[in-house]
Amino acid sequence: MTEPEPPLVRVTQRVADTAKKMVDESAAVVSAESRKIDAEDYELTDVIDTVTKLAGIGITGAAHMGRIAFEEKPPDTVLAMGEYIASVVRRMVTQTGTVMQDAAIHMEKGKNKYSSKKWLESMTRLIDIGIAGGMEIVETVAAGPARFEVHPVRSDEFEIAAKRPGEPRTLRAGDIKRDGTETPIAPQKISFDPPVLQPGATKFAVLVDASDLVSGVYKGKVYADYPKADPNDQSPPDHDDVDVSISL
Amino acid sequence: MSKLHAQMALLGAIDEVVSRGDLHNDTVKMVESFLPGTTGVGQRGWYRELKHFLKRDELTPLDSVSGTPITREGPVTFPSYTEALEELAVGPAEERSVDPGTQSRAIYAATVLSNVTRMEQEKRGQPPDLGPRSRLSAQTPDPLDALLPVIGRNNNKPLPEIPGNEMPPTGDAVTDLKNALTFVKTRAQYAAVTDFVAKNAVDPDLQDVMRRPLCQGALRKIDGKFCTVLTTSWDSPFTLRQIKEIIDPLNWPALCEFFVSMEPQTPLNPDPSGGWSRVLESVSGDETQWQMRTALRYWKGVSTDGEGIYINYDLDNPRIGDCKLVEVDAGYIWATPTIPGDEDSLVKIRTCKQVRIRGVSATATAAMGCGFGWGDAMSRMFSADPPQNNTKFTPSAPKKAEQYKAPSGQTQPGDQPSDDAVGEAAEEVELIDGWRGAIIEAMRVQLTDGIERGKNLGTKFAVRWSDGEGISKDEVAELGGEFGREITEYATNVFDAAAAALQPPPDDATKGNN
Repeated sequence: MTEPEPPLVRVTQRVADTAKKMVDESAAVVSAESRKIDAEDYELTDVIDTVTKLAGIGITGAAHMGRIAFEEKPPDTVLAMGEYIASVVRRMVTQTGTVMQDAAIHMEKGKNKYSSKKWLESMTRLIDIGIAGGMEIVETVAAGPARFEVHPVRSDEFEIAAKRPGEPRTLRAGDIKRDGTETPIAPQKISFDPPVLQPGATKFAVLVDASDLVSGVYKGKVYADYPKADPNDQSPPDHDDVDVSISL
Repeated sequence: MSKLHAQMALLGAIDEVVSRGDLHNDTVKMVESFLPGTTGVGQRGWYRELKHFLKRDELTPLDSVSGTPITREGPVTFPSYTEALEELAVGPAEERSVDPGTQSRAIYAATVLSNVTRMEQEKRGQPPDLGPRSRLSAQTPDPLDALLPVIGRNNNKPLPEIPGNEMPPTGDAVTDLKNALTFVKTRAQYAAVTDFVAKNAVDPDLQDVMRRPLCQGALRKIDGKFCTVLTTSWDSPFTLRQIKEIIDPLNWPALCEFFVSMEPQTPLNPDPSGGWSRVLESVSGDETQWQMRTALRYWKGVSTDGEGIYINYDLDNPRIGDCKLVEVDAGYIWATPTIPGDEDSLVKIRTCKQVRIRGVSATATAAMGCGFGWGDAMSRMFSADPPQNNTKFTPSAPKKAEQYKAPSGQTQPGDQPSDDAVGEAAEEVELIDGWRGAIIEAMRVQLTDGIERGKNLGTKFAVRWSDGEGISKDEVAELGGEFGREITEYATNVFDAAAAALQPPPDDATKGNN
């Protein structure tokens, strides 16, 4: 029986395979374009098309690499960092697209040809996008996953009295939100420690994945549901409840 | 000179000595333990970045009477290291002229600087260079010697023996504290010493300064962007009754130097507030040099655990009169009584500030938030005595948020750009003049250097290999050693070049733009 490879080795190999595929696909695009150029049939608008195709390959490749990261299940903090880098790349692609679109509009105006000055402007913008995005990524990578907030955020301990002692209770979050706002924290972001209160247990903490949540004190109810005698019973479960305040 | 700028200059002195890149590795590790996330690539150099940011036109100060912009006569300045020490160490003997939060942070910075000097003397036989006018040496007073007597001057009764102090007790509280701080190597050891002194010192001022909270930083993703999240937790000497007199942000300018003003915004019609209070916050470390104005809304609430009280705040919508540089600014101040339901119980104060500033790195943002006390105003206060005509705490009441429409011909009230326009502007790439060229040049130098080193090593290898005798074991060892040295040096240089490239170039290299 062979030992499984360490995750980093697997990630490295898969990323390398993806990168090779990207290179092959990019080469195919450029090769097709070169034939047009040889046939003296290559217009400036084709340049835009080429760049768009290449950008598409880049995005697909980046997305694929992102999936590798997910599939290899690295620690949460590493994932958060990877996700952030992907978001910067997406922003760069959008910004690049805006510049290219602007260039395309100018070219299509026909008479007023795309002057060398405009080319220079576009190129400068593209270089700046590359440098600024690159700097943001380097900064993030340099910060390292340790600097990313540990998920989930843990609340103070709460106590919930039992009206039917001797039975286990499953914890469930009600609407927990900042006063003066409408949107509660999505239920999938909330968990409990422990998730189930065994008979006699009354204390628990709320765990919240704080990503994408605005910092603040959140208030709401937590329910402790009693098991139903009949599993097919559709009525709401008998429960205890307690008011909670959580700071994120 | 501003005390806040003086305190920031001490923190900045640490960054400058780290950025110079010639400290011993152990010294850098010590600094990283005290100021996490400040010494790596893209992190060091935050002080230069912060100074550069504060020069922006959007931060031009306003005259407090006329409300018109003041023409800045020169660039934003911070005192030198020695000037900062002098500024923080002066003041009438009978009263405190520096707030305890600022003193606490200054002593934190002084502890790091004192340790940097001691460690560099030990490891390299010479003190670090802190700039032309401030070379730390045996002749320059230790920063702790300059600052500690100021806070311990009223009652210098002996302390019990400080655990972990490597020097024997002297019977003098300030000397013992200084000795203990000189040998702490980590943030945790520092906290252990200050906790001990806070509990055992006789002097109330010393107790007060020692128990002020330290800031913790992290990153959190909001709408695809990572924000700096700064938190503090503090067992305060204030009661819930006292906090109710001062927690409303309208009171802060009277209590904390950093808050220049908190102006209630004119109610809008139709009213989109939903019951939130709306305010234009203006903050500054030196209001004659720069002011940052942010339109905020805040909610005053009562928490469920023992009738604690809190303020939640967030960016206002629409943002009127603000500088449009802050992309995210949200957080809370939460005071919970240690005895639930008792108004006269002391409170635990927890704060969190989630902030992202356009064009400023997470490290510099964290330095600004922690260093100036932006996120934890409560820890900056001299006392919880309410100012005259204070605004007392009254819980906010929800009301229906109406859909606000700007009058025709205006994008927003006050003819401000819309929030969407602000968002778009925030996405704009802004590179300072001279920066692009500096980065390209740095890359060119490093690539050329890499090629040159590779060529030299390759040539040596090729020469030995082709000299007719092949390569002996000794030669492999010799060449291997040289490869190691060269590559290590190259890697170090690349690290320093990358670190330098991520911060704005020095002032003389940047012209125009800001």
